[in-house]
Amino acid sequence: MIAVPSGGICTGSFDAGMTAAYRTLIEELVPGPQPREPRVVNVLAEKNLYLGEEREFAEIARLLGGLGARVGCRLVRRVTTTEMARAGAAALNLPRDRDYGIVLARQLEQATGVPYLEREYPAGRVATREWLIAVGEALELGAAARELVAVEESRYRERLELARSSLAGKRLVVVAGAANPGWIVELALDLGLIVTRVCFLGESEPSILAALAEAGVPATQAADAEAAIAEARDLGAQLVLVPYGLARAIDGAAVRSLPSLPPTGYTVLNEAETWARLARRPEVEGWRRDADWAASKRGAGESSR
Amino acid sequence: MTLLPQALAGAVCAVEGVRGAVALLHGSTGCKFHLAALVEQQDPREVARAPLVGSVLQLYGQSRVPCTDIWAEDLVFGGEAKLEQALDTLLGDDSPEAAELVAVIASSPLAAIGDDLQGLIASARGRAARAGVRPIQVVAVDGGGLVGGAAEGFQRATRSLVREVARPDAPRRPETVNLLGLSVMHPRWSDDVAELRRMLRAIGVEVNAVLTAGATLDEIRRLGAADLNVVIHAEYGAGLARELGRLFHQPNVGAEGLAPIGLANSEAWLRAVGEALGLPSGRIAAALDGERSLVLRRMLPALSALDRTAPLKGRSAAIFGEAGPAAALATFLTEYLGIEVVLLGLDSNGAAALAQVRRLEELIGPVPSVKWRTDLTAVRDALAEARPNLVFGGSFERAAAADAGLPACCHVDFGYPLWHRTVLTERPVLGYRGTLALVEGVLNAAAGCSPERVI
Repeated sequence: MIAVPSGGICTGSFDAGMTAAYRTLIEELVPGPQPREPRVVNVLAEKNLYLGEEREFAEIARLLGGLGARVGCRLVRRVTTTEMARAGAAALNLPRDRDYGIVLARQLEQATGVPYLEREYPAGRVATREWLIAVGEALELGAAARELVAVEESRYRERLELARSSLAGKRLVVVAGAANPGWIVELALDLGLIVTRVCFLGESEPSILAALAEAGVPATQAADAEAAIAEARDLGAQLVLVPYGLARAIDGAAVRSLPSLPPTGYTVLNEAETWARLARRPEVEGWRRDADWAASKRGAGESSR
Repeated sequence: MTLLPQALAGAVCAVEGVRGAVALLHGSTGCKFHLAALVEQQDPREVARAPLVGSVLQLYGQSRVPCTDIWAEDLVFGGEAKLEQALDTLLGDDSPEAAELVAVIASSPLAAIGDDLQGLIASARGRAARAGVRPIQVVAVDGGGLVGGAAEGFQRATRSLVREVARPDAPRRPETVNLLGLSVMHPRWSDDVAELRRMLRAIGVEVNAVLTAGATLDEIRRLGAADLNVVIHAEYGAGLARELGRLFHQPNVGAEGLAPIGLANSEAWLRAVGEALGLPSGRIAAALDGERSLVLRRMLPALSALDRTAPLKGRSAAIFGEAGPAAALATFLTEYLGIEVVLLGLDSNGAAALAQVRRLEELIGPVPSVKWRTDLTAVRDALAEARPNLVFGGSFERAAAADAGLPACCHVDFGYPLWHRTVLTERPVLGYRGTLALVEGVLNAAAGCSPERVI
């Protein structure tokens, strides 16, 4: 039985509680440095509240398997205390993201000496290539990594072609929330979409704006989601991507609510295929027309009373 | 492995769907076993289980579809003696549960060797009459032999029944319709009959007879009394509609259209019946509005809620089943829910099936992959390649999808067999209430399989 300081509802935030819990678990359950297993890695700080997390992990595990490596310990998700006791034997720690993953990685490096990759889960073709090469070099599997990248990118291009046929030349507007839309813009350009604009809801980091400018993609800041969607309509967008939960019907455009977290690795192709299906059938669904019909009947009923 | 419904199954289900009728299979126990299992699952009745061993007519504990138990030597020397014995046993049964009509259906090998069914039936009737037992109608029914699938077998058997049983002089019953092309093989058939009766009652129309799921012999006798024949599943009923048109000069609707699956198809079906009967347009419109409002009141809040977190539009689906229901479902998924159908696996074939698929493609465009009467290995491979978000199919397709690496949550029950699930509640496939059941299945599968939701 171990005690994890949490402060209840009186002190600190979700971050503080998470960080304190990690520290306690490492102190209590992860012994110090151990003899290294050269092709074993740990995955750190997975998002236990995200319903799609197993899908994201599956892609990471698949890519590592292609390198000839495997996951030894998932800190902390679906893990046993026995596995945690072997965390110090890994050759490398892989953070899920920068928020908690890097924090946990530093704690573990201090406790066990296991180095970590200063990159979060990759999203999209370029980031995944860079991540694979970095992991490969850290594990002294550089040649295997470059070979794997060549195979994966060939498969990526093949699958992409099917979606391209429905999307190339269509006008895209991206309404971006807080997350970096880099993977979206990269995928869109790979698909031959014309990225007409990226509308940010709130301020964006200068580095992100610079990257968009370099790619020739105009960026603006909208007052709110309605203004951004109105902008997309005015631009004649044929495909509009909006943050999770903000989808609206827009005449003449297919609207897609983006996943709340970027898809990992090459699973961005699932997004591409969804965009293609939406582009093939942009018409409004029957149930929405019926919702308007039902609303008009209710209105007529109320006004007659 | 190929597991597709064949003509004999369609014929047996046509007869067994009629209350008071018994399909006597003149064939081997191998054919009998799976057909009786199908009938007992699809049309369960409160009867005592037959013994595992005993009378040659009832084997394996199955009380339905008695069988003459033909062996190899019977194929060489003829099976007449066994058929005579079976007929004498059935015709000599004077219990309250005894059949009013025995339909002799020859399985494929027996159809090929050409036993004189009509002669044997006539002799059996003669012996029964001399013995003074209650007269039971005996007919030879075309089982379809080796030709065609279940729909063809169903129509051929039903035509035989109609020719033998229906009276040419049945008094007319205005504003009544016959429902054609529904078999006890269709999943949830009794709930479907109840739903269609309810829908028709909403426009002031009663059902005269159903061919043949749950029909009585009296209904079949008075087939000619109805104002109109209404086809439910075109593959099972279009030919029957033409036959009844010839026999009783009755018009028909539904033979060219899609089955009443999904909201728009159900509305179109009901409207077509009302218009064909010449009902006042106000009566039809009021009924349609009322039915639609009831469905939308339940359905729209759930669709809107899921749409905020995990939209259906842009998802992909595979559909497995007979061409008619698959085509109707495909239009509903595409036009009403925004789900793209990327794979069709069709169990039926023939002109009626092709017509349904052509109709589908006129409405929604070509489907990327269409497989006709293929085996489960090919189903698995097609699913692995297409990787649809949702799979509509029966128990076999559910297993094939699992083999293809698709999650169990993406399966929505459709078609048959559905051996993996017991349903005790009313849950039609057709009509307005069928639409609610269908959307319920889609929403649960879509929500369960959606990785995008965050707590």
